[in-house]
Amino acid sequence: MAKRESKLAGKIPIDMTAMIDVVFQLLTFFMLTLKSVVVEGDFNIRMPLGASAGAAEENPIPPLILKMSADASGRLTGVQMGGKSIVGQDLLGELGSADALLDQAMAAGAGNQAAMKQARRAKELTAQKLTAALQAQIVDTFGNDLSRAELTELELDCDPGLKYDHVVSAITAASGILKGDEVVPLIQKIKFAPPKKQK
Amino acid sequence: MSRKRKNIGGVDIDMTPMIDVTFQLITFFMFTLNFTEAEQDQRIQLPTSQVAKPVENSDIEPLTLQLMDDGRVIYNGEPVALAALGDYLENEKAVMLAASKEPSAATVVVRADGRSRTGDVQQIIRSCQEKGFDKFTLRAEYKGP
Repeated sequence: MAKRESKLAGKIPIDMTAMIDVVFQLLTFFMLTLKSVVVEGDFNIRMPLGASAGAAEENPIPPLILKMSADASGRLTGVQMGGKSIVGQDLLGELGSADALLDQAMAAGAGNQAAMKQARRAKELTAQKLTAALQAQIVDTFGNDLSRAELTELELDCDPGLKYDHVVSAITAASGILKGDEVVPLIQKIKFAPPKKQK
Repeated sequence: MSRKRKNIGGVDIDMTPMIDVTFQLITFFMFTLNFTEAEQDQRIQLPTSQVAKPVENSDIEPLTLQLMDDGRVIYNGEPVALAALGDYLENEKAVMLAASKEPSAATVVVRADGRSRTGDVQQIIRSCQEKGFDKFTLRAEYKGP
């Protein structure tokens, strides 16, 4: 009697253990993959077709035009605001080398994760530098009166070949100032200039 | 024999709630995983930004267009040529009009790769404008300070 019971008691938990192991591994897998989801954010732009002429009349403050030029490979070669160049050559060089580093890492493929991570990190840091440089200039144009920024419209006039992340850096710089954890809103109306014919 | 049955039953009752809960958790995580994978395509590496606003969920389903760095657009999970996007947008517009909504009520979410050409992003916006969509949001990866 005692023998039979002990056999039974030993057998059933072993059956369960395997299943529970598998189930918990699945649970762990799904939990970890869920965490890798990145947080995303939005920039709103409103661009009805052909409405730009009407909008210019009702807005007394002229739009701020940011002209971003690029070379054949899409690297940023200059940023101009009001006809004056506002980003130094050394920063442009840094941006260019960060771009080249990322291109290399992408060409090497997914095999070299460490290089890819490093390249993306370098890219992020230079992008933040560009944002800071642009923001200083944009804030400068408003002087002490930051409330004017909300009425101002930003027009981005970019070369078609320009790499898109530089545009996002510029939009970041224009749309808000980061103070601690809070974001002080700056220019809210952002649009692209009508595209130029490609050469 | 009857005692054996009782014994099995006793063990089962102990485990059932835990296994129920665990399976429900697994189901939950599986569903959320599928959902985010459809939206956040791994072929796109978004540019990073520190001040991007949190994503707002509107009641009307947004139209998501994802631009890869080679200039193709992912529409409904399939890469299509940028030049052919107009036809797909025409369908999208027809669907919206059939549901008696104006295309301008929907937001177009542009998820473009950081290495793609700005001209392509502008081309997407232009194609959408021609079909009557005029609310756009550019998506970026949020990197907190």
